[in-house]
Amino acid sequence: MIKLFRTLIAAVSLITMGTSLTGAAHADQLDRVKERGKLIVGIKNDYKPFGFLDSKGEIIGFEVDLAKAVAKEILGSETAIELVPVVASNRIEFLNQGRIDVIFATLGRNPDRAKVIDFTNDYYMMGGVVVLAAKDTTIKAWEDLKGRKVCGIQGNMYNRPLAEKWGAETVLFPGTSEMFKAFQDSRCEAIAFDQAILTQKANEDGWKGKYAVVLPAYEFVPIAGGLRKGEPAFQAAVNKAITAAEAAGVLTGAEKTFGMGESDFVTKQAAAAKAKTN
Amino acid sequence: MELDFGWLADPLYQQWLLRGVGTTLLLSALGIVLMLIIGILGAACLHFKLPVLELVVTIIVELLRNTPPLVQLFFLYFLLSEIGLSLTDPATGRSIPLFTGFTCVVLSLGLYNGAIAVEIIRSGLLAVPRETIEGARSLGYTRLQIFRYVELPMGLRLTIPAMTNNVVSLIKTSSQAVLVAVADLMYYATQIMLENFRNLEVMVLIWVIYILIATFAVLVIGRIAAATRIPGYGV
Repeated sequence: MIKLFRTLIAAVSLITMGTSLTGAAHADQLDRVKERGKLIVGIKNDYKPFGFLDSKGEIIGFEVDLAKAVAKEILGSETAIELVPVVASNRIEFLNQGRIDVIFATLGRNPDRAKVIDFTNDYYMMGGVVVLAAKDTTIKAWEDLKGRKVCGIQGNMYNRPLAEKWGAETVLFPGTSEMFKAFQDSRCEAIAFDQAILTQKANEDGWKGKYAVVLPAYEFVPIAGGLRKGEPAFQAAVNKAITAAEAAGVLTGAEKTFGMGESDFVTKQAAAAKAKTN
Repeated sequence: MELDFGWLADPLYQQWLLRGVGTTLLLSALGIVLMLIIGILGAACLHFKLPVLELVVTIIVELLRNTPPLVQLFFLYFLLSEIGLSLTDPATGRSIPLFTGFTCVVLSLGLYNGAIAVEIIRSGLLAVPRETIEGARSLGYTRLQIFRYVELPMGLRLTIPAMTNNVVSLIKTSSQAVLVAVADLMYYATQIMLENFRNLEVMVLIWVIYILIATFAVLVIGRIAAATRIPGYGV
């Protein structure tokens, strides 16, 4: 038993040593990206309209347009980019392991995350959690969720209030496709998830008329890019690129392209960015 | 970089981990029972060369053993309700899937590892010495009595090493429950990692917990093996 324990300790220290080595190699992140000639971005590929697969199997979306604009600003080319699909539960780990340079994956800014990563400037304002259910549902208020099965995604910050504050029985999946399928199979009575994606879903063929967003968002979450801690030069470069993209109308254009409606936040940011660059 | 297990002091996390371990243990225990039932019944069908059933069991075993357990779980969870396996919920009047996520995980574990158990038990039955069976026959035992009192008890003892592997594999496969939203150990571990970002520490912890559960299972099987040992028989 003691021998087994010793082996375990050795294995654990090996793993930790490995991670500390990658952390120690500290060239400036901006230089490294420029040297590589490619920006590696963590993006969602199952999250319409922010990042999703089109009929050709390519990742497109609001955040993909932003990422391309950032790559163009920093490296001079839209194609100097590698998109790595991430999900809510692995994106911060991917970033801190150094597998990606930046997260553009509907990452909400909050103080807990700020302890482990740095954020870029906000580029979107996301309606927090909303609830989608069948049109004839008896769910009329947040209190009505008590004791009901509610589908959602593993890794969202509002899963805890859903369960603890509202008493819902959360049924959490790793990805959106499983969540929507489970909901359609009546494995839960409602879906609690981000406003943008559920609003979009409620208007989709096969969903329209049958389901609706029954509880509106009660808070808004600023969405920002995620960066490894302690890279001020890279952070400044990405922020500058985001402002340039806003000024050039990339984000307002993307909102139109992907049917997201015009949001006050993005429009205002674009106007402010234009005023700053002029 | 240093390991920080400070989050373990949070009573909520402790509660989550305990609940997760409980679910994992229950999933595994029910899966093992189902696996043994399927294994013995299936092996009996093959052993007695029952008409039709022998062919059916062979086909099912090949199908279950040669497809990934995750695919089988998704099939049970997402597809069975689509082909009509659903019931009406008395409370809401809606049609809901017949099997809950928990049931689907137990079924998938029982079926996949059960298919492997069929082959393991069949090999155990084949390893019972012919002379012993002939001896029983000469004492007037019927075919069924020979199976019940001679072949099965001896055969099962012979399968213990292979069956231990199967049980450990079943326990580890139970972590797939997280993919169909069943709150097992892996599920709560994911939730904890998302909140405290101590991925390495949480992974190390659940790694150790899985080792402990599997080791416990191996010890229990070892005790069963020792208790049922036939002196002088070499097993």
